[in-house]
Amino acid sequence: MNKLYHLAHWLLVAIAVISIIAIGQTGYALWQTTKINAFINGDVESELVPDHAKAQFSQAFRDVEQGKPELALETLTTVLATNQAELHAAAFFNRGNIHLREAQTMAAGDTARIALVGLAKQDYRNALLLNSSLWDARYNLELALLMVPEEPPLSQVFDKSKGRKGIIVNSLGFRVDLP
Amino acid sequence: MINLRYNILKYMMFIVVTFYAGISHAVDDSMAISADRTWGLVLGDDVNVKIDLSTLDQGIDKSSLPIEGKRYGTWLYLKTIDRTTSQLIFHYQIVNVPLKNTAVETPRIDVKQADGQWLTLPSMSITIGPSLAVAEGVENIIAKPDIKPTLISTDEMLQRLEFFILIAVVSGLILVWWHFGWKTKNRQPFAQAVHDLSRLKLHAVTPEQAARILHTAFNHTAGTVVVYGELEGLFKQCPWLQPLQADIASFYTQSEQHFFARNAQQEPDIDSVRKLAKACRVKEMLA
Repeated sequence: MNKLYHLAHWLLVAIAVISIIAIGQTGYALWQTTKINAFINGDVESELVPDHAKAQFSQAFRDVEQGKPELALETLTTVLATNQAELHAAAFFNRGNIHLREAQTMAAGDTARIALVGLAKQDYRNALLLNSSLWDARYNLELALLMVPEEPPLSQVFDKSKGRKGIIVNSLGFRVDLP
Repeated sequence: MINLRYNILKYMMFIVVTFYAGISHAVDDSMAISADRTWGLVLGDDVNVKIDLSTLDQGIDKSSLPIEGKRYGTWLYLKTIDRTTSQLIFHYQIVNVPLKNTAVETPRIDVKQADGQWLTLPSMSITIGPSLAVAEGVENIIAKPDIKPTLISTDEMLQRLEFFILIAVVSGLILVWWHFGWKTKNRQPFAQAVHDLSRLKLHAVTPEQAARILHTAFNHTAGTVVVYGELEGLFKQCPWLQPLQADIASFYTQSEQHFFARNAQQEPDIDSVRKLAKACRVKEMLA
């Protein structure tokens, strides 16, 4: 019986200690998150962007507003390298928008415009692959497709038949000796 | 004669090859094909094309299936393929849109059966249409703005914090109750002694006061005044104090020498009194 009491006592002490440690950890995490949220809200003016995908995403959004699309592109690409998957669709969409806006400033016949619209289309498609219910991405992709349509080819020239092996051409090297 | 044989053999080979080629290139119409929706499809929609394989004698060779995560043709992107023994499900996404409603065919895919025979899976017609009106020109269409950043949710953290605070408070209260009792009158003697000693820790306390507190606890435990010569009675009455017999005896010896001797000896040490009170409380708690 004594042992049981002893065990119960120490179990209670352990629970109290563990919960106090957990309070400390959660409180610290909450404080950090509140700081990041203040940055996202724009309440804090800081040169240093917190190391959180949402903070970087918000920095990219602010860069676009301040007319710095190149910086925003870099930051959004960094966001895409993080493991915050729920932000990836939004990051692809915003990146596509940067390309599309730049393309819209160019003349219709400009080859750079075609390339930029191509990049925008790729980003919108990636966003839709991650989240097909992103209606704004559908809208903007359709707009990009109207700007630079992708027409179906008139005839399918290349058709890989089943079981057919490709032709392998071997170029053999040889030495030409002097006479 | 040889020429005749050669001709017969040649024609036979031709018939065999033609027959084989005919079989292998033919689309297997016995397989049913269906999609969850075939019309009213717009850009970004998911299309799931199901092909029934139950009529096939042989299974499909997995390695002959098309590559996933790749665009096929002008309109469709093949996301994934779900393969079971009775059906194949191709999950496509529409990635391009025509200017007006257009019927397009899903890709014809050649697959190999387990016996090495190739067959072409049937395709079906789906209708894709635009969702943007371009009557006023593309330049007048305004693109949707960027997605705004959202805050990190703290709800879960707050809930966790509340939970841990609740656990800490409850376990702390139980521990306090365990050690000191819910009410002063319900407190056990050594619990009261530890409580008094810890309270007196904050104020100036004399060794005499500390020793008196502990003596009171022993007296209450025994139900009578315990003196040095009657310690045996105490241990008989409270056998759970026996492990501390030596310490208790030492404390009583010191007390007797201090309180009752003609020439008062050295005062009892406060720390050792506190230590003994705590040790007695532990035994009392587990008694």
